[in-house]
Amino acid sequence: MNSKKTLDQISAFDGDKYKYGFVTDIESDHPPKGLSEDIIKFISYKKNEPEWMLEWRLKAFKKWKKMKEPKWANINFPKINYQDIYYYASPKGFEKKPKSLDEIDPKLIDTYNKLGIPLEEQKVLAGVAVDAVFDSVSIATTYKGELEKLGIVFCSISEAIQNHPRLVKKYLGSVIPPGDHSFAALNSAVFTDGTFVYVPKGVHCPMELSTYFRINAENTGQFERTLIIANEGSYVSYLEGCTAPQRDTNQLHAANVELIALDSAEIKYSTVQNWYPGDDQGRGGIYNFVTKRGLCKGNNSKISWTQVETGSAITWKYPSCILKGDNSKGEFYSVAITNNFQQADTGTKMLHIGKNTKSKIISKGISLGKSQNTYRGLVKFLNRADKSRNYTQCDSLLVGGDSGAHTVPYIDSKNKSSVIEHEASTSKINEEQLYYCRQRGLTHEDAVSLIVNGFCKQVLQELPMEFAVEAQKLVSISLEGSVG
Amino acid sequence: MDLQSVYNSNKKTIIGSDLEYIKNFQKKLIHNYVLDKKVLNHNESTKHIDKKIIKSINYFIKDSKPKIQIQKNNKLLTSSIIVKNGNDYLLHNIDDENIIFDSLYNKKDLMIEKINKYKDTFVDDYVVNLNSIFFNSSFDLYLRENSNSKIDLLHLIDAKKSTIYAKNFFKINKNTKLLLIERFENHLESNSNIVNYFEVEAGSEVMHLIIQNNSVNADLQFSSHINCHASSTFKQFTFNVSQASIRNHHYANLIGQNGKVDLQGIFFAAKNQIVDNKTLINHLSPDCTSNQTYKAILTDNAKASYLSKTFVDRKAQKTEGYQLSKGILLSRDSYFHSKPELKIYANDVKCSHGSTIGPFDDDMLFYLRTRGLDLNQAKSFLIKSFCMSLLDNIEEKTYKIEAIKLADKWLKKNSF
Repeated sequence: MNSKKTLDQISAFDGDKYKYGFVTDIESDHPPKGLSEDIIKFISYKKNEPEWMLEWRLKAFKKWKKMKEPKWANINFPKINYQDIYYYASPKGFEKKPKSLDEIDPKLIDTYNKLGIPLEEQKVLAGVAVDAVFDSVSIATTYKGELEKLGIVFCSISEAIQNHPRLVKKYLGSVIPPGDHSFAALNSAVFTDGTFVYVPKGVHCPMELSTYFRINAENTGQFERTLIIANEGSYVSYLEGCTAPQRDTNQLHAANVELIALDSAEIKYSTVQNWYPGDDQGRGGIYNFVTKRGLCKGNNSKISWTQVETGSAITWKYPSCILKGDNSKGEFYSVAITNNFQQADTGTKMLHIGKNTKSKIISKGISLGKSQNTYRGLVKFLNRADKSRNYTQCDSLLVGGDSGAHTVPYIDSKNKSSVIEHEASTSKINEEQLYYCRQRGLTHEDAVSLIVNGFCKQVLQELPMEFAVEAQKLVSISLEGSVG
Repeated sequence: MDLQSVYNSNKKTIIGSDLEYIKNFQKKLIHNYVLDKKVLNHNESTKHIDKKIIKSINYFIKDSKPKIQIQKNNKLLTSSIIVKNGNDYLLHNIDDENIIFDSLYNKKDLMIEKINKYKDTFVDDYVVNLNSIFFNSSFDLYLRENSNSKIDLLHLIDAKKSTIYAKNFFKINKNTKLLLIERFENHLESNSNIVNYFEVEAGSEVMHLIIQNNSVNADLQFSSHINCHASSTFKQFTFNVSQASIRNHHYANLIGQNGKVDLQGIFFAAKNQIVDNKTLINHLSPDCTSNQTYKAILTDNAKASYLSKTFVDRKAQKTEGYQLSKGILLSRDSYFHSKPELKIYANDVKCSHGSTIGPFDDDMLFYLRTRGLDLNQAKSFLIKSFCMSLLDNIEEKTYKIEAIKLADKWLKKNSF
């Protein structure tokens, strides 16, 4: 079944693997290139931000100037010239966010339709509310009204700064302080848009919330900031998707995502990251430096990260959980596929602070072509984390002869009653499984695709329905041309 | 006192400080020895070590001129070498027939050749760099082809505050078997920084069994660099019940096809001890296998780390690499850090690692209690069986018995 789908999918793209590589021909507004206090003031002015927000940004900028990029990751890239990037790009005529879809340029609506994200609410799959971010601005947020009835706030972060300053002030930067590291500081200084979600006490969010990020303008960095707060006893599931046009130059994407779960709240965060990975010679692609961190602040809270990473020339991403509340839970499920010259250094951090906290890490890495794929993770049990538990499993599959698969786990325990279990394996595709599939009439490529899908199943099944199907296709497409 | 002035005032006893080549080498190392915050927190050779060892450098050695005494005792079947204070050698049954022993003090050319050969090993390792700078003891052990030997090697110190910086070279020629049992039994305040270099030629088998039983303040930094040629085997087992700060860093290169390396160990730590362990295996040829397994038993305020790494070169297809680290924490304030790393560039490999840290299994304890053992007995029983599962793979019975006796002694002495 899978292989049939794969073949259909591949032939549908007519040999061109990256179907999201088109450019929307739309005029965009941007200030001059480069990073300075003036640019930050410009962004803040454009977004009509209050004084405190501008001060916060400038403080972060000051910190950033003193910082160096972290160097420990297993990735190589030329020095980023921060003065050669546009820090703000907005489709023309977006000085104010349109009130309804009728006011939006049809080209933009088309773009999202092409990407498979219809913004017209009547067309939207029941149960998914979308916030669409195009370059530096959020262009539309669907189902807002319906969610408002339940007291759920789902809007762009720019709107939240205007309408819910108290919440933003309290939680922004509380999980990722602006001075955490250079990319976090950069994002704090220049973040343009992103999503804000607040789920009130005891509310079970009835639909999946989702953001779709699209980089369109050339030489533009995308710096989005997402903040999700789940109040006591609430539940929310959030999806994130990303694409960018096919270009020969590299583009920078440095996002910060902060999650806060209060007592007994649960946040489920899923990502399908499919930024443009560069061509088969390693030209172009997105540099994806993302900081994602969740704080299980309350007792019995839970944060779960699920990610499917197939895109980007460079992925530098460690969605983490700080398990502060007693009995809190953290989960991390990841599939990272690298092909051609892609480099991925991704993993997670589980910091156990509270008593009886539990974490689970399942990571699957697949390396093809000449790519380098690294799992890097930290599990740390502090003195107070009595009776806590961690289970980690990270498996790598090597398909390409020139690729590399690396595992760098850091395991730290300061508590005698806690248990850490870690296992990892690296191997090539099992010959016997391959032989069995071939014997049943599958071609080599189909067989590999089937085995890889099986290898990832443990993670893919954690994705919400709407994403699981897409992710499965994505896994198959990522393998195309590299096996056999 | 800074490194340069310690070096200058002790030149007389530092080997090679009168030889242009080694002097320049040492000069360069002193120049590069800058312990800034970055090095202390991020360099793997200094990150987990007891910081006093690299921060305050004292230097004292009784004499760096070697004295070699040879004794023949036909009653003893094994050969033995006792190294006292770094340069007093007492040899038993070391004949020139199969084993050739010599100090490198008077063989300057050979020494330069060896230093030059291994100058690129342990790059960025600040502890081994200290060893090269203050280099004051060295011997060369040469085993002839097709021989079979058993050697006991014992390190002793009877001069208080001695600092030994030894480089010992072992050349195991083709198709040779060697069983080397190396013991550290130092009870006086001292510091030993010893680096062993093994060259295991094709078809040879080496079993390197280590017992470390140093008392408080008899600190030890013990490193090995092993080159394994085609179809050779090197197995190492480190059993550490010392009460001092100990560092064990053992690196192996699988250079020839069909090589096999096992680096295993068990260590105990109590009180305020800091124990730092690292193993690294570089698979540079196809069809090789490796195994890195360490087990830790920690109590009181002990801090320990075990870093292991398997590197597989693109050429090294059909590699099998296995890593395991297991730690038992017996007290509230003990701390264990483990980092089992895999770096793989070949696609036809089978590599895995496992790591666990935790307390006793309550069910097992309960079972033993129901059989009439008191809590302490039950815990001791479980710790010993935890060690035995690894020790059982060693054929040398006397070593196993000695290790278990030492474990027993440790368990009686420490609270948990």
